[in-house]
Amino acid sequence: MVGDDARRSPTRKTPPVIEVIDHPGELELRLSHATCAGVYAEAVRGLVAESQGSVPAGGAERRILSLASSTPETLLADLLNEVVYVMETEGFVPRTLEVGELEGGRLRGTLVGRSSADVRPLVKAATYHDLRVWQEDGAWHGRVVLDV
Amino acid sequence: MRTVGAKPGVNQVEELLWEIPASARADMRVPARIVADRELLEAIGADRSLEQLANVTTLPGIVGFAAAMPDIHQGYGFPVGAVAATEVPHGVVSPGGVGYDINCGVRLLALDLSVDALGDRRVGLTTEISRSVPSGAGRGGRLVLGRGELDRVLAGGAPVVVEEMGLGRQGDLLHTESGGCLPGADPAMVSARAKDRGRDQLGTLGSGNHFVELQYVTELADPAVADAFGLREGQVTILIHTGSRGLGHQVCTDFVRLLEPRIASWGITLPDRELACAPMDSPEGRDYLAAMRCAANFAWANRQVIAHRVRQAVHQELGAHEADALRQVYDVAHNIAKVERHGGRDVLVHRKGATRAFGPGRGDELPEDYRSVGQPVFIPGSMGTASWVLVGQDRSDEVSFGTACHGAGRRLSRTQARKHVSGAELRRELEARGIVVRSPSNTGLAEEAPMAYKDVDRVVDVVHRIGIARKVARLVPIGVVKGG
Repeated sequence: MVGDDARRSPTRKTPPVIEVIDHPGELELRLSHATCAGVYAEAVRGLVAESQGSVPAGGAERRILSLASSTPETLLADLLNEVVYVMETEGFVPRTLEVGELEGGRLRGTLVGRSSADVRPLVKAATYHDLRVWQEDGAWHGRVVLDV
Repeated sequence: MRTVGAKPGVNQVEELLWEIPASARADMRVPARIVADRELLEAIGADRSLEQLANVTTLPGIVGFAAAMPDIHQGYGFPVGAVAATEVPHGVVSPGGVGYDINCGVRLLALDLSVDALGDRRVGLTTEISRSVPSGAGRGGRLVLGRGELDRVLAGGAPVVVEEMGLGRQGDLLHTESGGCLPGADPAMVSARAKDRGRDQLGTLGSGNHFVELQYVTELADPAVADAFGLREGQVTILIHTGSRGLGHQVCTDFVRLLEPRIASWGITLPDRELACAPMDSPEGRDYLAAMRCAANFAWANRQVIAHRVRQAVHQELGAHEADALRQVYDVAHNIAKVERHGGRDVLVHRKGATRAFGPGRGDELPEDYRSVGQPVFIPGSMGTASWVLVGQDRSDEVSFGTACHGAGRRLSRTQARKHVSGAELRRELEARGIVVRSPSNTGLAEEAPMAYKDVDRVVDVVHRIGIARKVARLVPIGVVKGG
């Protein structure tokens, strides 16, 4: 269950990690963070970095998010598909996700970033293949495969 | 049958056909077949393609076998380069069996001009095509459709672009799979979000491996069929590779999200959530098919608009005569689900990274001028290498539900490709070989480097030797316009 506890830092410090596993036709993001909210934020940064080449250094434009998914895993896919959508239709490239509320498959938060006239639509979608969000050894982890 | 030592559980059926028997796993309903030579099979076994192919055989209502083409590689849910047919109407339809880029496909145009006669004008023509066809980077094309116009395109496909918008010719439609329109498309089943993504994307290439390539015919493997397709040695051709852009991606996203939590309610258990599916005769299954057909129609309309822009570029650079003489050889889908008759019954054939390859025995489903020879099949190689024109053979019905491969198949990931060569280096190397390169992104260029793909000649050779499609003509590039 992902709830308020998930956002509380564990006693043992876990540095944020985004590992990109490159398959022949797809990209897999493996994420680790001290908090569950951090896993979602790192996923946003990982998707942006892989599709655009880097995460924007600045930008203070904001897009409010309110997502309701059936599980924490499908929330991860829904969040990334939301990012794909705003990048493609609005040219908005987030640099971070500020998580307000996170409970089970529900997330309220804000994407912060900047608009760009040159967004590379490399990622088509976040898939459900091997999709996972889990807690282990005092840290939170996520795994998602992106279709490119 | 005999077992191949290097691949336990994979039996050799004939020289180029292998099988994982249904008994290999408790959840397999039918066998999994692989079309490959021994070396390609070794390469295929290096990733999770075969496990994913076996997963496909667990789909309820699957008929006969699941088949892998020699260009297969690991995907999500279905591997890329796979075919599966399900019973109509009680079997399932799986959005993952079509993929996110619904009706990604290839269209071949032929100029009435030799490469020698084109000469250095290839530079201006490639440049003008790159200006006329927005390549990637999420930028829209010059066509922004209102909601009513978009709905007409979704319902009517390429014929709407030709007949209502005046962008193309009747001959283009005659030489397009299914005439460029699948019946049964219902725009009401396509979400507002998908329409939002597609509204300004008609006439755009997209990113990744999508391209327009200027080529010429270097070799005629079957002069008689080449003649029927209007191809001759030295002739300049133009190959367009793209799909349904963000609209199609969103349709797939929407329906995987809708179907996945409902699978248990239909009593279906799946080994991979991305195989999410619905009984074809359920409301959800019918809705997906209606939306998928809209996205397929959008893709045919997209390639039609691009072909029109190419014709305009030819007019500007080479003159009215060459533009008038530009003819469409054919347009084929390689990510689609279609109801077809196989083995005396109707089945829904899912092709993900696989091309329909009907032989002359199915001539009544082909354009009149190709009925006696079979359907054109296009196999693009990697950037800077050869592409092939083949012709479908009747044996494809028996081996692969009337299907051939769709490309060379990736061998290296995008990151690995970037490690081998920089985009700038590759651009210089291709230009030194006389290939004009127009790409907005050096990164995108490096990711599609030739060494990232399998040897297209080897893949095509397997398809030819097993008799599902026969070699007709080999094409090599002289200009490349790449997505971002």
